[in-house]
Amino acid sequence: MAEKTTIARPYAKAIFDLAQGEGKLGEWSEALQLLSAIAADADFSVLAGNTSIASEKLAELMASVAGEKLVAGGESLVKLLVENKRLNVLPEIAEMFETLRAEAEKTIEAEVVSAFEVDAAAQDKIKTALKNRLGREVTLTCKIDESLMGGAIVRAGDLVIDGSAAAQLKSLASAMSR
Amino acid sequence: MQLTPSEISEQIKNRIKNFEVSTNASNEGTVVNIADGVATVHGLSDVMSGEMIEFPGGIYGMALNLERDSVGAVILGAYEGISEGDTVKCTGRILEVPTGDALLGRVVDALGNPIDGKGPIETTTSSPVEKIAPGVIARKSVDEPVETGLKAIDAMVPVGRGQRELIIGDRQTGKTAVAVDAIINQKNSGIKCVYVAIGQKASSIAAVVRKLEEHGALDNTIIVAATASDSAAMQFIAPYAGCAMGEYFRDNGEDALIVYDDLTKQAWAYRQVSLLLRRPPGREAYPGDVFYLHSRLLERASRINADEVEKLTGGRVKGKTGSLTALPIIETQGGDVSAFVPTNVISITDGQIFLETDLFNSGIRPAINAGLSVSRVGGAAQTKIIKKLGGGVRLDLAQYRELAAFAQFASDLDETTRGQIERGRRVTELMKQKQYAPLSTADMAFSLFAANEGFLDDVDAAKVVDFEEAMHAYVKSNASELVAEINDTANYNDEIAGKMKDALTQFKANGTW
Repeated sequence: MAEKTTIARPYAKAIFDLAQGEGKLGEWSEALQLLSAIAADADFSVLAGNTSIASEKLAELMASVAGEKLVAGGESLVKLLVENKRLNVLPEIAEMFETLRAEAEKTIEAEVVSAFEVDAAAQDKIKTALKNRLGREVTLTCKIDESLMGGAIVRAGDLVIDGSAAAQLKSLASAMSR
Repeated sequence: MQLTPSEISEQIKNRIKNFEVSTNASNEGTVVNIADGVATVHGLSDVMSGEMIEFPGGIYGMALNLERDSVGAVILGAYEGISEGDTVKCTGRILEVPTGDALLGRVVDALGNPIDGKGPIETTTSSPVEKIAPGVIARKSVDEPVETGLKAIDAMVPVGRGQRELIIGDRQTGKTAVAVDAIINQKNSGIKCVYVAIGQKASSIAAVVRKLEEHGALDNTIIVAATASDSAAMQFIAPYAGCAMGEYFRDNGEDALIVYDDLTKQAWAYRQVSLLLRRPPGREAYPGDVFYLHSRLLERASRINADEVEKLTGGRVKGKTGSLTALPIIETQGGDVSAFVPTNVISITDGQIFLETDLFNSGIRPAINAGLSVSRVGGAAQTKIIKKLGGGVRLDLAQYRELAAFAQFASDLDETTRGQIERGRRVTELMKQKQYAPLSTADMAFSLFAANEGFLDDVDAAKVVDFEEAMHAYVKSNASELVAEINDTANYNDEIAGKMKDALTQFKANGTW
């Protein structure tokens, strides 16, 4: 995994610089999502692994599948990746592109896992609290996990704020057994 | 102790009452790869180098390699339960161990957890395992002795408080025995001891613990054990953990002695960890920083001045210096002191005690090679009487070594040479000493005095050991005042010399051996 990210980094950085220069971060982001979805497709990866298919054909095929949604310059990217046999790192490139974009736009995606549904007011509260702490615009996604029993876990990047009842019971258990 | 059900419920109530409910924010990552006690972790963007990280199941690790996309960490403990994809948490703490007086008399592992079954250790203080050694301003020169109770060492390669004296030799030459004797002799000296066992058989460690207990020296000793079955990471950090425990005494204005048994195995463990972390190998496959591995450890053994002690204790302890004396042990292969690790440690330490297989097998125990053993700073720390009397012994042995080759043509040699050979033979005999039988300053002084003043010259070489024993018994009962005076003051002048001479003359006239 570490090796793949190492390979993906220069591609992602280059695409990001290009997209930022053109002011097309959104379009590129969509295109990369699409391309990585195609690359991850089972049928397509069979084709990609087939050595008898010429690389130009493969690139053409990919571009035609993506069709209209492919941003200008996207075709060249596909060609380059096919030529260098790096189609398999497309998901990593897309992921890294998103990280770079989030950093540039000062946004972050946070996930809230809770035992019960979080209403809009509470979501807003969490959002502002996270914004104060991280200094970034926060987009929330909510999930429900009943095994938490109560409270919630907030994940934003590597930061995890665990306020769930399950975690507290666990630490109580370890405090009791000490 | 039996608890009634009501007491149990009371205790549980208390614990629940005192339990603080808190949400904790932490930095997390996931295990990408785990093998041979080394994990690669993705995430952990806030981790510090040397930080403790928590794996599921309460197992801790230490982050060592901070790379662009991943963190390389060693696992301290059992790593069988950890699998790919597990969550890893930062603790925000650099690896630390408990310190304090409560550890004395206990056997702990490299993380300071008790492993002797004597219950939990009640300490309030702790200290990071990796610490920077005291600086130049904080230090004081070595001028007080650590008495090992071994004639050969105290007379010829004296160790001072705050010194680093290497014990080096092949396997089975009595390296551990020398160190254990030195610890046993600190029973009443006020010097606290730390014995760090690295990569040894658990049975050997148990034997050392038993011996210390037998001789009443366990109560002021901490045993830090990383056995051969502990992970390489534990063996690698054990000396630093022991050092942190010893530093506690040093920083509180007390004196401490630490034995690292042995640093060769620690270097092996570090080599293993480094290679698994994919650090480039160098000479003998050791990583590039194997010199720093030992130098930063041994620099922490030092003597610090009273001002520094006052500063470190916040004014609680005034006018007392602190010291940590280190006796690192290195095992050589076939007497090769020019291998990588031995040369490193020889150059770091303030001298070495060189033990030889040949001497050991010919019955000279401790098997100290008087020619190759040196102490670079200990001379300034010797007690007056041993310093005065020890010089002669060293000279006699040096002359004897030069002439020993001619010993078989003794009849063709002139009177002086023959005299020197005979004297050397007796002094060599005199330097023998039983294990676990440390000598007091006075006993040692009498032995050295007897050799210097020629009292041994007409004693059969084979009888020297018996002579010495009888002499010690005699002076103890017939010159007890003199013995007490020497033990108390360790002074030496013409008057004391005269008294010693009288006592020995009397013994030779009346005693039997």
